[in-house]
Amino acid sequence: MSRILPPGFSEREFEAALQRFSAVIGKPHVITTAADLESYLDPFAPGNAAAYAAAAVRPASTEQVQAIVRIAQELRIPLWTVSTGKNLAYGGAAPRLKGCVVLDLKRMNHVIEVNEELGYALVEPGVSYFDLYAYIRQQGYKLWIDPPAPGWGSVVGNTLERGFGYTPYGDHSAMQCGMEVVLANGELVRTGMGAMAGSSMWQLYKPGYGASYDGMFMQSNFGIVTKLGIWLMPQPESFLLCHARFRQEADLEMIVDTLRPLRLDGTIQNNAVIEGAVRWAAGISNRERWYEGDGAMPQVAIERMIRQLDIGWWTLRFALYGRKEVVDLNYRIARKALEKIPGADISVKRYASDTVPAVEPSAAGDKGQAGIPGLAVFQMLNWRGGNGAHIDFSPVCPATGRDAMKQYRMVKTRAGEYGFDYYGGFTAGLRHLYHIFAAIFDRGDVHQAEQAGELLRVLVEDAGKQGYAEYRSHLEYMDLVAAQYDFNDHALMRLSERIKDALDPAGILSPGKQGVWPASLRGKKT
Amino acid sequence: MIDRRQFFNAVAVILAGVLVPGKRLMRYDAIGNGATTPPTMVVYDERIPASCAFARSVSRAGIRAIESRGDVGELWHNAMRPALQRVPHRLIGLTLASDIFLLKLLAADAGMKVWHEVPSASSGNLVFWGIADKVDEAGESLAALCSDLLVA
Repeated sequence: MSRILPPGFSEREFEAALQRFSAVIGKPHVITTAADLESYLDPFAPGNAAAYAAAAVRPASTEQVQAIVRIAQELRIPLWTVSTGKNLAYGGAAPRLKGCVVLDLKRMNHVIEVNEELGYALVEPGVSYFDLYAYIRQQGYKLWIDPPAPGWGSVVGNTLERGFGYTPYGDHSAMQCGMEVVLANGELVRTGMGAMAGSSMWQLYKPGYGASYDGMFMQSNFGIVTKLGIWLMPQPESFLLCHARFRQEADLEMIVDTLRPLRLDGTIQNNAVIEGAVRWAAGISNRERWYEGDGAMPQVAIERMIRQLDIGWWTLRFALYGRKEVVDLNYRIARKALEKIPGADISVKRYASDTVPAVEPSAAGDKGQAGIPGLAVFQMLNWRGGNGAHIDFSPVCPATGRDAMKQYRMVKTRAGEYGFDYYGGFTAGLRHLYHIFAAIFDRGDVHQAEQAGELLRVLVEDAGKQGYAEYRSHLEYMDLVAAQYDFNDHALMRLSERIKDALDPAGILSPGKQGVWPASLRGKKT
Repeated sequence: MIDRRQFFNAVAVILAGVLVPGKRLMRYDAIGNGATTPPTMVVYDERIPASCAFARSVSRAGIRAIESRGDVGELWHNAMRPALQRVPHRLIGLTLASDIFLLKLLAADAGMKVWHEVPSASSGNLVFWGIADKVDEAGESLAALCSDLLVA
């Protein structure tokens, strides 16, 4: 197999470039062998995972990142930045463009500061949610983190990708405050109050003075974020975890319309989750127990599964936090509203925060609502047996019952046509829902993997025709998803391209990320 | 052909370092060309009877058994990684396929590799696996035994 090289490079030229990288970060941290580069393949590729990385470099400091960027700029080597590369359903640590050098920031793993009094952390990109959680526990700070469902991801990476968790601090990009960014010319910038050298408010006041740029570095390829501030929730005096089961498939509409006012008026403060039956069942059983035929599980098999497991068609998880009397009052309000849905079955567990280390909620989804990271969500990989994998379709949805039902029907029907079960649910922001559907497939079954990939493509197009689009996407569909944002003949993309050309004229930073290509590749890559 | 119980016992014996199949009896610390064999931890899933049986067998030989409680990520960060940082261990397990998939990635970040991964033909979606920073002799023998007995 011939070696992968950056575009336009000979082997000799690339070797010389690698030596320059080695001089900056040390040879052990320049990854070049095929075996070591396997970790930069897309682990859940919908089809055969193609090798795209020419090499990987693992700097340990911002200064090393700057030096690498300057070399890449001089030599025109495309870099693909990853924090820890654990975002498997969206492509992992794999680059989009063949011949990229992966700039892997996992060695930059310092928790630089946690401030208990003001409730924030300043971290480097290699710090995972597990790491930050352990650090806070070790120091005894009375603060909670807000982990996404798989807790091994980078705090910086997940925040930049606009990931979400399940506590009141669940909108990660909204809880970000202050960034340090290496630009494509190697220059170092700090955003917000960090732009003032002597300020002690970098992690306290986001805007600073004048134009605000933090959002520009999210889901983008305009710079490399090397430090990021994130607000942390003060440990609540008490909290309550609630499950509400609903018996009918059609209940989704009423659940959403009941939940929305409770979210908008602050009765329910966290990102509540409405889980479909298969998603719940996949955490406690596998598919062959319920259905061994071809294609998606028939309705009758799903209904049998629901009965035998005694689960809901839909289950709503939410949590309430704060002083006990406030929690009790909010619970009564929420319960009264939910009980109006016929057949609602509501159960609750109460916790006092000072007992958290000893009495932790045991169910996987509950832990996220209590700020505890885990990887139990990956039980889903066993649903179809074999070498399980999944890719996700993640449209945002208005927080109305009719829209949720429309998206659900659309996705379930298409998934069925391609032989996939509806493994999905809705996570409730204030005015929107994150609708997350996972196409679960066996990596060892090439046909199934390809069908999953084709299903995703069709779903993006279907949703676009209905005025819906994804909030993030797998590498393979970044151009297609970006194309759905088409107001005024794709004016937003043209703006992004002008910014890209101004900040990164050589086009070295993460080419193609979120559909934004450098001028030299524009129109050639789709 | 031996049955599962005999297999588990054989595994336990090997892990205890008493016997390497096809070779003379060896002392625990003599396995691996005279190098000290790292201590072993066995990971099991308390929800799965076959996994529990396996853990019981090997723990009789003095191997530390730790339960995944359905979340190997939490187990890795709370128990396995701290133990590995103190003393290098060899890790083995009979768990769901998703667990070894995750552990493989977590172990790689810690400079360790999966040296064996064998699907169990008789136990659903279970996989027998071993992780270490290097392949050692006892591990190789164990791998061969597992290949003979577990693969369909």
